[in-house]
Amino acid sequence: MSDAKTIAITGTRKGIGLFLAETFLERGWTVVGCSRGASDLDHRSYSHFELDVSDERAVVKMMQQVRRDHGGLDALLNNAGIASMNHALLTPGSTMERVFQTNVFGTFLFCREAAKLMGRKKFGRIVNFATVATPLKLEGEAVYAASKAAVVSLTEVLAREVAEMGITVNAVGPTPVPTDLVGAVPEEKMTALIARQAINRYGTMEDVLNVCDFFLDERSDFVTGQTIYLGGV
Amino acid sequence: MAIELEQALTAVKNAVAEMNMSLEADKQISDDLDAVLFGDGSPLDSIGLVNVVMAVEAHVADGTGEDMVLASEAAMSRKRSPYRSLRALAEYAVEVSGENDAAA
Repeated sequence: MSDAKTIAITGTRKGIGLFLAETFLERGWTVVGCSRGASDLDHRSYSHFELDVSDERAVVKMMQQVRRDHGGLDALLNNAGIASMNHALLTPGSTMERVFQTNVFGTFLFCREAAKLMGRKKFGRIVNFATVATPLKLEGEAVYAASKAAVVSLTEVLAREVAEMGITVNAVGPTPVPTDLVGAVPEEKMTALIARQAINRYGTMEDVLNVCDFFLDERSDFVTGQTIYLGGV
Repeated sequence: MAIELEQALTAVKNAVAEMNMSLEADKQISDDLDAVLFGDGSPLDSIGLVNVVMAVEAHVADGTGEDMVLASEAAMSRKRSPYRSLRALAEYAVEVSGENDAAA
């Protein structure tokens, strides 16, 4: 057990999650990550759990292991998420189930188990991941936007429930960032989406990190229950 | 294998002892297994209860190696709540352990 701060990041196998994990490792944090598959990230301060974030028992087991190995948890970035791009009338119920399982149930389970560890130290920072698809009411993203609306609501209520425990809960709402998550969306759709932002460009992983850093900062202890959308949405 | 009631009772007592170390004299939690833990006559507010449940989960995990969640839909029920006393909480831990065992 070291004095380094410990952060849990979900969905670290690729994309933004991997970028965030690498960044916090470079900064000297101990990083605990997870994804459904194995990780290529090899670092002495990184440990990886292969799990489905909506698997309650697996999440509990992972967080108890974090408690044993690191004595607690300072921060959680609930990055893991899946998207669905389809007309609502053509979307199978199973898609809705799958998207909600990962985006909502997974976020809830990690918030709950992380808050238990953080509560014991009377300090914690949780950052959930929303999306601009919710306030933009994007056509074709009914299921994805609704799941992230649930994440925002969860963030707002949870923030009040755990405030007394010294834990803040906030959310970052990224614009499209060129990752696998948006890779399958037609270019013209992305261009039209970006045109609705105040600042017309793709987001970058650094943009997302910047908001996370603000929420994680010890000086942000009076900021909770907030969602910051990028790009001026 | 499901945990035994004695193991659960030990975990519950250890959790209370740990919590009492950081609580002021008038906020101490009784270690009487049948005293009201949460409800009328208890010094615990909801955050206090959350802290007790979290501590019990951790002590069960450390004492038995079993990771469990002691969340319950019946939390607010006066008769059925597993949080009504320390004994009820220990019995609930045994019940959850049995369910986990059956599901494994």
